[in-house]
Amino acid sequence: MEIEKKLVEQCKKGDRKAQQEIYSLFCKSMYVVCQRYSKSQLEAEDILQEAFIKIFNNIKQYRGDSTIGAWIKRIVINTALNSQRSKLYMFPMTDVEALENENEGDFSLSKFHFKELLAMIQSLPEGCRIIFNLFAIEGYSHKEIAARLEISEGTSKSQYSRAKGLLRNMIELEEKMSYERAR
Amino acid sequence: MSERGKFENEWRAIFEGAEDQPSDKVWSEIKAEVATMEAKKQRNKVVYWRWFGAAASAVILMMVGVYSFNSFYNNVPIKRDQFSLESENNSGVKNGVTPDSSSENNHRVEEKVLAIEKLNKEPDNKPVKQVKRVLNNNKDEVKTSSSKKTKPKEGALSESKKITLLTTNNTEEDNASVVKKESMPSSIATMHTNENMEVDYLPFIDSVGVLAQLNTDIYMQQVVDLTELFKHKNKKHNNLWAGLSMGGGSFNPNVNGGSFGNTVFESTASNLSAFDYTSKSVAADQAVESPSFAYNFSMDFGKFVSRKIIIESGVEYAKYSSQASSNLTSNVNQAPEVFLRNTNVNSFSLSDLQTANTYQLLNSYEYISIPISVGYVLFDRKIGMLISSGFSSDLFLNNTLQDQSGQYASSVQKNGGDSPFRPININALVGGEIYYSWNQNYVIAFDPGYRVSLTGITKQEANFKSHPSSFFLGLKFKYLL
Repeated sequence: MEIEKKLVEQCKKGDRKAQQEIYSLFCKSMYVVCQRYSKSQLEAEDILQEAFIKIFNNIKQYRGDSTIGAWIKRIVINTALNSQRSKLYMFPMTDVEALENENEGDFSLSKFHFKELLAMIQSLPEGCRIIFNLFAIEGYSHKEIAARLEISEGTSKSQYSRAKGLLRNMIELEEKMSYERAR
Repeated sequence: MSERGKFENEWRAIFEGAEDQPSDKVWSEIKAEVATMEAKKQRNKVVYWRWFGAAASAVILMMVGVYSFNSFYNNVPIKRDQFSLESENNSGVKNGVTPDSSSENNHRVEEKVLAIEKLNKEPDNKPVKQVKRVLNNNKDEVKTSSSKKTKPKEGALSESKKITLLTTNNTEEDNASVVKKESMPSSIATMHTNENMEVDYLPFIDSVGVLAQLNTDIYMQQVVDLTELFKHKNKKHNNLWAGLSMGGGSFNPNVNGGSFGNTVFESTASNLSAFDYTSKSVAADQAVESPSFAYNFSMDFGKFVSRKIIIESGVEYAKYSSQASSNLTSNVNQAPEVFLRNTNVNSFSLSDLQTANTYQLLNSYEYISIPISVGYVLFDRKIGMLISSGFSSDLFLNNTLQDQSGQYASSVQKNGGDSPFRPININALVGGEIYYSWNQNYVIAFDPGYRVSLTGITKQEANFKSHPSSFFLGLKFKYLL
């Protein structure tokens, strides 16, 4: 933590080496975040680049209220959301009730590598991919998502429900295929 | 829809510590973009200061204008023996006629005065005002009075031809408070006459009810003549002048371009092959210089060679600065010194360099300049404007590299054999002045100027080139001899 604080102070003075160290420290985890919100690696790298430019240009505004990691992640997510914003207008609506009350008792992802799951998320349609990320992984409530994306809470729930259904299907399919391969 | 459950927790756990390496080009593009943004911010700061300077000078000029206006309007005392009549108070003390009044006019006025006095003596009549008519340009001042007591005249009359009105009774203090200029019809207050125009104003004044009822002395304030500011001065244009000035502005070292580029070393330098790229590889992109401040002080003198042309020269001390970042220090001396680029013409060894964390530095140059310029006066009133251009010989004093964090020792390069800087470099100057003059002898001027080095400030054999330019906004005070 002390090292991070020192690096931040040096970054505030425009120290290029400190900037590089901050980047090295956080780029790998943030790259995964970017990939979760985008459809391809190329798009994810663009978001990562744009986010870190914003981070270094605005690092003087970081007051240490949260950890630097949390502050960086917030900027990365905001950048990702902004880059996807235009696509959010194309949300298709689905029936919320249809997918409720699923039995999650034996659900497990432990058999999967995160890159396999990442590929599944990337294959989701734009709108529900974003809402899935915000709800399931970042931990936002539907109310917060609705306010943030300027959509209704119902839309957020619909989209999440849709994402969840699609991912379940993909996981089941993958499990079936692995089982077939094992036989 | 239920809130978070096992499904969500599983996903969250999987991605909590997930990491993946992005390609190297992401960092290189971030680095380039951040450097560009920083340079842009620096440029914006300079632009901001330029605008600030321009706005400040505009405000100062406005203040000078308002002050001048107020001086004319309020502070110039009315010379009563020139512009107005002495009041005829209740005790019967009366004004006289100026000695240079013509006898013809006197006779005419006396006739009118007698008529007025006659009217005043009649109980039913309201007091009658006295009228003074001033014909300024031929110094023909006529005053009405019941007595012919004269007063010595103190000075020449104004050029403007105005009529000043005066009524009798009360002290002048009372009059000043009672009589407002605004209460007069402007046509009366500012009435101008032709030189030989003779008008009998009495009937006209009598018809002005306001004046008649006041029954008091009315001193019409001298009407402001804004054209005063723009009147031709009757000064001698072969005047010499001496002055002092100071200015501030921005300085751009212009080290971009040429074979040097923005790199620490000249690409063709023979010793570049010895450079250890593994440990000092980032050196080349750290030496971008951006513009910073400049200021100067000077003593000037000049001469009007004709009504429109002036020549001026002087001696000027100037300090110019630019900002840069570096990740190298020089270890030639005991303590590590700031290093930006090789500034030693004769001997230089890469082994003297050490890599360091990137630090910001201030690169300052000090010069003594001897400018000579020719100016053309666009207009010359109390407020005037001229444009000028010329040359300046700049004598190099020193170049100082200063670490702004104070971590490393400053590096000072003085004039001499090893210095890469020319002992003298020639600059082209363009500028102008907006000035205000008063009392025939004093001038205050704002002089924006731009200068660019024609020869460059570096020697031929130096391994980098710099053709700096600077923009100044100065304040100049001149005394006309």
